[in-house]
Amino acid sequence: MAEIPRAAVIGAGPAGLAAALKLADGGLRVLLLDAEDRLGGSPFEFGCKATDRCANCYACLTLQQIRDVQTHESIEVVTAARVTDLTGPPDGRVLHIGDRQEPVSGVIVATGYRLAEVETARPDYGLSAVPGVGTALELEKRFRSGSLGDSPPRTLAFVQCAGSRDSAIGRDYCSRVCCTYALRLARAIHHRIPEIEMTLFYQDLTPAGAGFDALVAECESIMALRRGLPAKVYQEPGGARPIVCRADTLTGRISEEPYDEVALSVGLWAREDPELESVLGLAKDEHGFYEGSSQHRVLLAGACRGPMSIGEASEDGRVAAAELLRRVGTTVRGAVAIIGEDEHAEAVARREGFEPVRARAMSGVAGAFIAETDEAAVPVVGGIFVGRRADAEEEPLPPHVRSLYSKSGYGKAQSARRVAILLDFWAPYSRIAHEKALELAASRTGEKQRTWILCRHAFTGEQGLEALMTQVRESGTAIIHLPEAPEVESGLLTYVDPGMGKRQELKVDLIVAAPSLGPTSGQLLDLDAHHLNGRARLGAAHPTETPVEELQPPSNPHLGLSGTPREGIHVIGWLRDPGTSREAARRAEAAALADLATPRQGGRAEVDPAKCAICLTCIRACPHSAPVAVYDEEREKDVSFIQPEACVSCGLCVSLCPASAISHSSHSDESIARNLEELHAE
Amino acid sequence: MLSKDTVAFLCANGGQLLDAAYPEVLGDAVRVPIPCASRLDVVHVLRAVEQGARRVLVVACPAGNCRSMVGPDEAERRLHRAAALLREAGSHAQCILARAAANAPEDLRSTLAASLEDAANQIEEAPA
Repeated sequence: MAEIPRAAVIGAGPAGLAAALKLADGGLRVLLLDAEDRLGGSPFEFGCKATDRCANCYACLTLQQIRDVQTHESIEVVTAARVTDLTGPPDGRVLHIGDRQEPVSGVIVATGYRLAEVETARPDYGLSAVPGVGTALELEKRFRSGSLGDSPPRTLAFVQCAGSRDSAIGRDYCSRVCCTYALRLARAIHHRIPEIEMTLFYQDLTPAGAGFDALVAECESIMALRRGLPAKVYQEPGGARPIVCRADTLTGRISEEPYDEVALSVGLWAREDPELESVLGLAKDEHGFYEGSSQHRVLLAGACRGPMSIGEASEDGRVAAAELLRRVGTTVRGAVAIIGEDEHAEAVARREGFEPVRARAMSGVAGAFIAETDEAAVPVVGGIFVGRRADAEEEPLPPHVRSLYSKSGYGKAQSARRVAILLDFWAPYSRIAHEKALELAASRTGEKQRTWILCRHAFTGEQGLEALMTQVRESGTAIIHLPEAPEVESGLLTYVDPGMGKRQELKVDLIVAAPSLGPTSGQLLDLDAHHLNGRARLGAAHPTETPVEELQPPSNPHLGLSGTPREGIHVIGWLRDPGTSREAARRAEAAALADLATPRQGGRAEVDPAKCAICLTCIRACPHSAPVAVYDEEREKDVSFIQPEACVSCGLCVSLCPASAISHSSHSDESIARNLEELHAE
Repeated sequence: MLSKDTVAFLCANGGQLLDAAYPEVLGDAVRVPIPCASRLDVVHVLRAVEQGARRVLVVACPAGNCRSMVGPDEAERRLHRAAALLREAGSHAQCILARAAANAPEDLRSTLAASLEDAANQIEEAPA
């Protein structure tokens, strides 16, 4: 019998843990290595930032991933490990971990990032030199331990971009996750210690995922958000407090204000490991993040490729693992339904051996769905709903403003002389809009062409966008930050300049703006709101008047960035989160490669048909649409049946069933009672 | 520090993970694993008290963090019902719902501290 191939994953942060689990579930034996003496990587340092609700930071998932890795029989974990060599021919690679040698069919590098060296890169910020100045992570640790609440500062300032978006130190890229991190932390602190007066100084508030508008709006109500980073932070003469010296880039005013504490949101830098880079032939980009490997079957995952959130890193790990599985030749085959159009999802599905089926609706359970196409019903293993932007005629834009996404807007703007691009004002914050605006501005290279981008916050939290923004600025595009939308007339914009406090007029030939995004009315026929947010089952296509925001699946770390409560069903695209084209491609890839098998959690619920009164309680309550009504020929009546492929064995239906007709195979009432008796007997 | 007269029902994705990483928080409490807080039934709470528990704790996920969406809300509803039944029966057993993610031992600690303080106050206020 041929030996099961083994793969190595280097780095046990969210990307490495997710990759190891995916590889092991895909049939490989996995060697998971980490240089530290524990698993979890950087997120292990982070605490929970929930208030009354989960903050969706995904940090808690690390513990779950660690448990799953440690209990997976196909994964061997080696901590405090150093990879010293990779030898042998392409079909017989041997990984050297110190004295140990392991044959491997492939390697995934997921070594993460390191925090910026702010003390040396920005000594003018006073870290380790000025009392009261620390990092946001240090602040978080004090907050979680309770010591912050024991002696809270009266005033606290967050300073963003410490060590990133800073061309003076050669770090002219956005670290992508720091704004969301700081805002979530500030919100959590306010929830527990509301007496602290907080201020956050920023260049641009950069979102790292869905729900950013709501987060910013919430933070605006509990703290001061002020544009313009400090030039320096120094010790109060004759005192002990840090003074923040800065110019407000919105108003132009210079200020020097004391705070009891200053927390620096430290940027993410590339980790440096010359030995590993040499051994694995890792190529680096201009900022030191890994771009690829010259070695056969050595793949990259997570923040070693560039700054990304915990959820994104986990997703990236799964995608890399799926790619390695494909290369090793253990890919699962089947067909996957794609509802809506997405060329990335279709391309990835095809590449992976799945047959993409353009469907109007789906029914069934994970691994055995039926997709309805215009011609036939087709069996598929999973489904991907793709939310698209609204039809042009439905865009809620003011008169005289054309859509950035339409030919009459974007297309015409490429040749018009004076063009204003308006973002963030008539639609939720959209990263794809910022990406398109910069692309449009960069394409306008005519001698007499002038471009203005007016927005609330410029978005550069994607690889290459910071450089693109610098390029368009240097070529004459003006980027104007406004807190409110300008007044619009035909060919004329009027706004109050925040710096001068005066009304300004801007005459242009064309105004384009980002409209609100959502599925088209045609697609609403395909989407069942109840299915998506888990309150009921997926039905056949039918019209719905459900508001778009209610169509969005719930944000929940356990569901990942594209998953829904319904196993095997994913939602991507505009409906989920208007991310950049790169993000959209990654999300489509992750959805197309998602686990379509039954979840690993043990046990399941089962109905005793003799007791079932078909009251529909379980069918209405199950968030995963696992119970269905079936006809019982023996009893000549309908009874409830729990589809094992859809059941995640939570036990909700067991506890709800008024007839006590449902039992749980691993957590029955009797077993819980026995457990209590035994434990008390001890 | 919790003693053995506390029974803690722990969900698989939150409480059990938290307890594995920070076992000191629950001290000597008797642990009962459940797959999700939504599996908790009134009868489980009553059975725990019948077995001698003076305090029943359910460690559930924060809102928006439950794998099955509704677990913490369902657990809260049933715990309230159980607490009402216990009061009617003259029991002084305390029922506590803690919403804490797997990496939030401090949230569990603060809920426990507040609940224990409440219980102490109730004892002080009770007629001799």
